[in-house]
Amino acid sequence: MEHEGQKQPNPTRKGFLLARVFLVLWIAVALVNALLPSKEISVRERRALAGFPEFTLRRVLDGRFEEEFEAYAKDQVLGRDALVTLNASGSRALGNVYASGVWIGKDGWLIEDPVRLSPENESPALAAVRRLASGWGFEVALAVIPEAAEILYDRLPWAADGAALAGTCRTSWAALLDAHPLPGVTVCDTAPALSAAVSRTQVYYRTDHHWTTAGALAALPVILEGLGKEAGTFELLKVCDSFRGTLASASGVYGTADEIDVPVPVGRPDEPVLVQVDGENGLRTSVYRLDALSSDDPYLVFMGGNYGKCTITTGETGKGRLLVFKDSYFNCLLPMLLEQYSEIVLIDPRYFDDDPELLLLSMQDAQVLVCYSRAGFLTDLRLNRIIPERAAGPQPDR
Amino acid sequence: MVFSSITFLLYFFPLVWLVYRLVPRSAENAVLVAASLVFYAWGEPVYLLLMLLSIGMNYAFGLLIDRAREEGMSPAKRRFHLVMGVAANLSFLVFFKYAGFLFSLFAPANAPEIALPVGISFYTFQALSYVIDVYREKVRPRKDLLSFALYISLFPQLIAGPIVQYKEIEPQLSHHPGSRKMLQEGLWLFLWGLAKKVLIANAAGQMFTEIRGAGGAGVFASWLGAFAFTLQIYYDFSGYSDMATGIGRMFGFRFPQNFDAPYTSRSVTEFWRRWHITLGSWFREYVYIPLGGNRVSRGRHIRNLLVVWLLTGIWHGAGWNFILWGLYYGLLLILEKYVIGDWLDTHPLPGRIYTAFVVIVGWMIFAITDMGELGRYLLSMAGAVRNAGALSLRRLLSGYGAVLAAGTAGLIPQVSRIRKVIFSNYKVLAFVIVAVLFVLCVASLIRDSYNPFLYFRF
Repeated sequence: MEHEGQKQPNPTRKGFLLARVFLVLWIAVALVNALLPSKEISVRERRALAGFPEFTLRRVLDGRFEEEFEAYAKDQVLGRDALVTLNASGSRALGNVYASGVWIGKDGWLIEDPVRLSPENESPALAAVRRLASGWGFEVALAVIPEAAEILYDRLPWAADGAALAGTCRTSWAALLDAHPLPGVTVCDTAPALSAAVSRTQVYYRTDHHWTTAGALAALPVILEGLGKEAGTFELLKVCDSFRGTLASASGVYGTADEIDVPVPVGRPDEPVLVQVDGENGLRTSVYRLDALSSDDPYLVFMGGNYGKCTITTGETGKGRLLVFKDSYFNCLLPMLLEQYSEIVLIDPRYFDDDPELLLLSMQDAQVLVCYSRAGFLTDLRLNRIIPERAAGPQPDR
Repeated sequence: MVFSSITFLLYFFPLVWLVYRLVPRSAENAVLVAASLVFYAWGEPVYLLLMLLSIGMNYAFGLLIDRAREEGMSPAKRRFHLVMGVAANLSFLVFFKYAGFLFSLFAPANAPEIALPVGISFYTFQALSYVIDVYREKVRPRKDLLSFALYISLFPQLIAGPIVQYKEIEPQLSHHPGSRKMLQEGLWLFLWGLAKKVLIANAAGQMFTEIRGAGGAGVFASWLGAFAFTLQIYYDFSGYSDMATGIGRMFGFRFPQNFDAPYTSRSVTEFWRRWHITLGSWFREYVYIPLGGNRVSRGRHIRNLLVVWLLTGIWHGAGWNFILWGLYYGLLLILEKYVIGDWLDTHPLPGRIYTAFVVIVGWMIFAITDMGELGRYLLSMAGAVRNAGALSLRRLLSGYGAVLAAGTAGLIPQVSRIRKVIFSNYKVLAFVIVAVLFVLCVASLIRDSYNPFLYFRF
């Protein structure tokens, strides 16, 4: 029975008074909520908030106004940040350790749920890598950085069954490589180096889906070995200690903060560079954007983000060229590669819209590094789309 | 508009309540009708025309049928007016709700895409109860157009019930002063219903969606999913009825009860006396009894039951699964009536287990509209499909275990009695509880994207 309250001879005044108080508060909150000015972005959630929808008769009649009004009402609600936190903590208090693709682990660890591979999975990106090596004849190193869930499985909550999950990640990736042989490609397995570093340093961010600079440093020797180079020594310099990344935004769990480090060469001067970002006027003189440190997204200190094409000329002469196909995981590794090459060309296929054939023809003397996060690599469709087949035989000059 | 939206909770309702309290009593009905029309038009303003047409048409039919009686027309002529009225109402329903399905049966290539106006099945049934009862001289036709419009469009129960028959609410339409007690009870009941919908039903529904999405989930997970949907549909629907009844009471209306602890039933017959009570009453009053009810030969009685349950099935949606679901219950009720009813009456525990079993299976027939998928899901429940391994039971149980437990506990009558004792005897505690629940609901609504409206097919 949900409907009939118990019959009482005299309704108490108290109950009525409380109901009135509730209604007055409700209406007051609704008024304040409606009158407060709108915010344009949510720093915490890293997204633009919906504004008041455009009001025209046509939009009202086809329902667009009403639909957008609800989005506006949700985004501009009074005390939104506090309510989001309340919702996340309430859900956690009830035992839910999974929110929007993020595991809420031990000691403030937020760990992205890894991409699940099924046996029949194809990897378009792997096909592209194969073409680069056997079709185009490049010397290719492939560094696909394992997901945090695989390396930090013991930080996952019980519900994730971390050990089994990590095992599945490992074996399914190995099976995928077995099923798609890559002649002429050096596969850099960074997992052992990362696992070994876990006990002495933090190799992934607690609140972000990226690996840390310390993680990149741990994997550096493996990747350079794949390129036939030797790593110099670096120490880490802390530049930020209040970083709350994408996983905090996605899960609504903001409890802990991360530090961001940059690598500093030990006993050698910093490499002078000229950075040319396609579509940008003028040259940059650093691979860092220090102004990002005081912004809402301090992670942008590395390169300021991702660009379709970006050419970095270093002070080194005669050290050859490197062509990198990458996602954002590469950004914190880049500073440690500068001293190894005279020129590094970064291609982020997601934003690249030039003629790829021309690019590859102009980089024939370069080494190629394909560096991705595992999740990024497995879900990427762009790389395969931009790397063309190379017709057999010598290409006519164009 | 739906109750579980920020638009309703922080804009529409506070505004309507404020205006309602500020205007003189004589203008209250006008405020409610205006609010109801905005509520109905929100999102699909085109169908406002349909609502206005339904109001005008049924108002006219009421007067016509009555005049035919006053002028002493022959029964055949009076009957003609009734048939016209019923046919007009049903033709809207058939056109908007079943045309697509009928075309898909007979001319799939030409099937038109007709969006279903929200709530049409509910308010069409309300309108029919008026026209038929005027004909039966159980009620007088309403002369005041405004309060008649209020009957058809009253926003609290407009889009998901309860289905209020005209004779049940007739005197309240022009006089609904309410009381302090009704205001307090109504507000608390609304907030309680909101929490049932947002905090329990949405989470349970998300769990079912995940399990269903995994395809072959294995026996245990399939039953878990079916149980989660069983909780979802109850907390969603009864929550919606609580919200409707609560708001109605705040405005001074008393709606009939729609749910009465249905999952404690000891037979399917009892279940349907406790589930969506106002729909069952409607079918009994306007279909089953006119067909002769059970005071006929066994053969005709079985026919009557099958007709009623076929109609009940397709009332819930135009699709094969709803037809199947209706017939499933029709056959079970015939079985209980003629074979196992007496045994069930004397064996409550096996009766409860049997009822839970057939109701849970029934909900899958109801929930899964694609017949192929339905077959696979039922096979999976029967243990004939192996777990494909894509589903982590650990995650499901840790993520939804608390909600399942709370939802299950809430089904136990002793537990829900505690709530009633608190609400009527411990006023401050009740205030704190509903206030916290309200904030939690808003927090959940702004963040969680899973907030379905289940009755759009009805």
